[in-house]
Amino acid sequence: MRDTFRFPTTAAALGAVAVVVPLALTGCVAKDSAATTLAVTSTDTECNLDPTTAATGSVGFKVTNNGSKVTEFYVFEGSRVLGEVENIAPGVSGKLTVELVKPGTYEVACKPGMVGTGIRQTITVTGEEKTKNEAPADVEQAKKRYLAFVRQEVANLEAATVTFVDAIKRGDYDKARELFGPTRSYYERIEPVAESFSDLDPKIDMRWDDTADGTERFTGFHRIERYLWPPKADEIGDADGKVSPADAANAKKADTTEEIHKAADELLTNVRALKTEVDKPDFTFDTQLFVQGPKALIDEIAKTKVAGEEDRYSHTDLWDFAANVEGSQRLIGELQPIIKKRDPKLMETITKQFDEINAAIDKLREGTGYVSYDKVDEATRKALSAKIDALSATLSKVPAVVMSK
Amino acid sequence: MPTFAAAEPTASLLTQLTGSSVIGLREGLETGIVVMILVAFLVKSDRRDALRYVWLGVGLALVILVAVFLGIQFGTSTIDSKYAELVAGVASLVAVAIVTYMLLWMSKAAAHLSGDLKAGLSDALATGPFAVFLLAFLAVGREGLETALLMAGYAESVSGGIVPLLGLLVGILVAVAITVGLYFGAVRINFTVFFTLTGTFLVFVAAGILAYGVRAMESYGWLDWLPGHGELAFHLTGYQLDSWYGSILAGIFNFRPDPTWLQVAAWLLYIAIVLPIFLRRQLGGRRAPAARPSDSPTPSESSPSPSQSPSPKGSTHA
Ligand SMILES: [Cu+2]
Repeated sequence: MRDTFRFPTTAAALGAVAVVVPLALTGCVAKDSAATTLAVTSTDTECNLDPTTAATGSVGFKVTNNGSKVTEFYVFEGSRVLGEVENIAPGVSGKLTVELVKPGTYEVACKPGMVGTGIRQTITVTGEEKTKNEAPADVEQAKKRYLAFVRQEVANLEAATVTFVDAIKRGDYDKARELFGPTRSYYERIEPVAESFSDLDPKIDMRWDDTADGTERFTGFHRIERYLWPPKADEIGDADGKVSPADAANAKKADTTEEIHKAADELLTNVRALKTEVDKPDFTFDTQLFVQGPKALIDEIAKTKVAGEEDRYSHTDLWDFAANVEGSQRLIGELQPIIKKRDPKLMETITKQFDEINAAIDKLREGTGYVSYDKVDEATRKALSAKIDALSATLSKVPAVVMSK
Repeated sequence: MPTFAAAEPTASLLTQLTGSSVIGLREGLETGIVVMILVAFLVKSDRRDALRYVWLGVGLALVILVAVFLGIQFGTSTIDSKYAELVAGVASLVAVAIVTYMLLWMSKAAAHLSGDLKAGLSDALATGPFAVFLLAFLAVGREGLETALLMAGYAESVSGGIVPLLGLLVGILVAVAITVGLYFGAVRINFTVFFTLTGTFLVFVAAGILAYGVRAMESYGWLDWLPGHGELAFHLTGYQLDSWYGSILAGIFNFRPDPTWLQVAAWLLYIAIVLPIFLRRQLGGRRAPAARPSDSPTPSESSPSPSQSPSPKGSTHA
């Protein structure tokens, strides 16, 4: 042994780890973040896709090698490779998620034998152009804070639902009618996140319109609402905010005490399932959903509340209306420092427009709640609607501003 | 990003076995060959004491590989496959730089001390333990993220049948057998011949790794500023990359039948520059002991050469 040199073993090892760990983390992406997954079947001569269309955003591919050669799969934007899976042996399948942010056609290729240009196919991507999913660090921080709020809201929703369901089971329908609006508020405040649970959201918040004229089971808040506020003759009609004749007929037939108790139990089960989901340590939601949330909540109002469609039996629409605004404002609150830093003028406009809407809603307060929406005249609805539309237009600028680095 | 799951087994079991074994063979050789040469150099020049830096590098690379694999397997995240390829590409280029540096340094030392080639080599290795460590680390770890993704895929595919995984293991075992066989073949031959042959072999291995790195850069879009990027130079039809010979040549020399122009250029340039320097020092060095290193500029020119700072020798070799 000679020792003309000394090798700093520990330092070298630590150095290597210090280089490699950040390297690995930089390439970190969420597993299974894709909304749609295209099934790709690669054989020695074919490359089949099903379906061949997707919406802009994260697009998943599950590549199955049914051939006899080792295959590869590529997604191209022009000549640039956006994503690839290599080394897919026969009988094995590989998964890939690619951000296809621009609408248009993209070329994909299976490469049985791993050489050449591969068997090319095209896929069509439709929808709005999305910004890349990589959010600046401060947006990620804001998202974390908002996540805590979402969990708190769902916990409140559960507690309120327990009381609400209890009133129904006791047959205290006056109490239940009083609790209906406030209980729903917790749900409406976090609507974009709640709606991302594509299985639970319909069960909790479906309308008659989603039941295909009663062929699918009508569950959730609005089913109970229909029981608590049975459709009256003058409310039946085909216009928005009216109860359709089929709906009214179904109510007469199906809304028994027994059925409603069952619906109430199911509602609580589904709300609890929602709570379990959001309480999971790894629960997260799309950053796009977060930055587009303020506008999405306001658009909820324009879409369903202004016409009185959402709470057509109880006319408690103003509760939802106010909750959507509060939810939107809450999101803006989390994003405010970021917007202010990057576009202070925009933040001023947002604050001003929220103040105007809140002032308009305040005029419609009655006791601890709000006036029945069917008592709100057309002129007031129109004025509200105009303010909502103006705010929505302003909020549409938020995603681009906060996502710019 | 890519994780794998077993497909409906429409491919026959034999196809599944051989299909996965060629992947194991290629990956195994890619990982093992450089480490094997490094070990052979150290053993042949009586520097067994430096072997621990090789094992440290290999061990650390394996630990990181397994950690990344476990992170993917049990965490909620995975690694972007494009990014894994970029890391492999950059690591490959760094590995080539170290190989070149060590090879030329060793040959320079050998040329200087023509009377005692072994001693010169030993000194050259002695001054670069960090290079030995880093090369071993990169040889095993350069495709680490990609390998971790591959492992995660096979771990998932086990649920649909063990055959692909078995195939992978068979391939790795064959790669180990080839590597060990090459090692014992190499260490048996006469030292001077060994050094010339292995060094030449290493030049071709390094050229392949360089070409691999270039392709990775190209597909990531980092070489878009170069003319002809991404265009294939040729395509040998009929050559099977996923055959046994294709896997061995890909595993050792990173040979593929459809290289791009940039790959071909990088490969040719590397061989054209490094091989003559190495061979001239090797063969010429012994004939003309006074050969000056400044005759052939190399990346190691600015580094202190053993002849400028001679260290006492004699303790490890009599
Ligand atoms: Cu990760």
